[in-house]
Amino acid sequence: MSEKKEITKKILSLLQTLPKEKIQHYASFKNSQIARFQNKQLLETVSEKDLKLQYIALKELVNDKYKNYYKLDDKIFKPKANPKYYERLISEINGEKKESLFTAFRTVVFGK
Amino acid sequence: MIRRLHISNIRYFTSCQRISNQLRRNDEKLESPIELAKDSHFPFIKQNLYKKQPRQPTKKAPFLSELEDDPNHIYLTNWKKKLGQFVISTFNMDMDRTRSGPVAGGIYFAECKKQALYYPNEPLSNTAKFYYETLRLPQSFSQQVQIIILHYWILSVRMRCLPYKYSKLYQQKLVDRIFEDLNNRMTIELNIKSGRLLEGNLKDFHTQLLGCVLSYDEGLMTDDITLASALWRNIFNGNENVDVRHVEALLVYVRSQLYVLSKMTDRAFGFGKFKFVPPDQIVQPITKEQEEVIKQKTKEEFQDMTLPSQRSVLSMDE
Repeated sequence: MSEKKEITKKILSLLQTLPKEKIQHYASFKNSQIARFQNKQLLETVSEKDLKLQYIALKELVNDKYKNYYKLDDKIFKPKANPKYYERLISEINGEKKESLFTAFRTVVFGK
Repeated sequence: MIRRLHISNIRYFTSCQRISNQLRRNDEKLESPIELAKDSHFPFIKQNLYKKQPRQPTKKAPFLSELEDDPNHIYLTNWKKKLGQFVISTFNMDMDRTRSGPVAGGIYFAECKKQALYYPNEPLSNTAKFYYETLRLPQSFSQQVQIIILHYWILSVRMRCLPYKYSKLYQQKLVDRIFEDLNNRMTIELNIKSGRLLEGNLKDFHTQLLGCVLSYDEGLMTDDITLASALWRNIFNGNENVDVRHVEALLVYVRSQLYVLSKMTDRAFGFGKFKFVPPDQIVQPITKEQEEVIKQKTKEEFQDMTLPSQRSVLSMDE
């Protein structure tokens, strides 16, 4: 039981490190999982092995294991059709650079 | 002579060993998405998603269309083919533009549709088993739409890398065909007769498509956890009792498809040569040399395609 508590603690501290979502969605992965792993009743039904697997899976995701394993290059990140597509999208999401009326109009007319 | 052979064998063996060591380093703890998901036996709690049970198909609409589904259907007779080639060559038609219809609206649409397609009382396909049995997603029409949207997004990421005028066309043809099919299936299979209801549903699906594309794009550019969160919200319906191992498995599936697509040349992709890698298979990263071999094979394959209808300006190097 103490081992399970230890893993749960690790999962919760890992979940706390997740960045806040930049766009408001109908549900937050971080918050819902924190609430779930704090529920002691639910955790009693889970085996230690499965709890450990949840921790491993979460750790792999936080450590960007698959992003680094399946590395993509500029062919994808700077698409020929619209090389600044992702750059503009991310700066808009981060709130760094807002689309002006002129740039928005240009996008509608020329598509990029 | 024997000595030379012997030395060359040793050289061959050491080079093989070097490659296998390299692969092993890359191969650390890698499993196929289906194996990853099956590892976990986390207790399954059914999500309370619907107020009433989702409507199940009562009839079967054609997969593509009655004409396209018929295996014995001959598209064009020989003289028509020759006339077609003559017209293309005389008017110097842009075949990449023309090809976007049958490739994106035909081959790639079929690829997207077949992944999670199911009918009651019929055995599930291997890919459908991954979604409904391994990941335990609910069997409903809206769930299928979400999976189609995910596959559309994977393809659209690659379509953006085509030259501008073809990129837009390929994406447009694929989206048009998806929505045309959704409309048909809602009418024929789900027996929805009200035009207002059909239109409302299509508008909802379109809004979902825009939201999904934005979330997945953000995940692609940032990190695994952001992409995983987007998959959790859209494919796992924000299920708070989700098995995180299942989310990880789906993320591996998506990333591996994107990797395969990134290694394909524009020409091969534009001719509809891409097939989604089934979730029970492992995608291993390739070396620069292997990438060159793929490009060489593509060039050899397209070298013999000299008919006017097979003309293309899409790159065989990128």
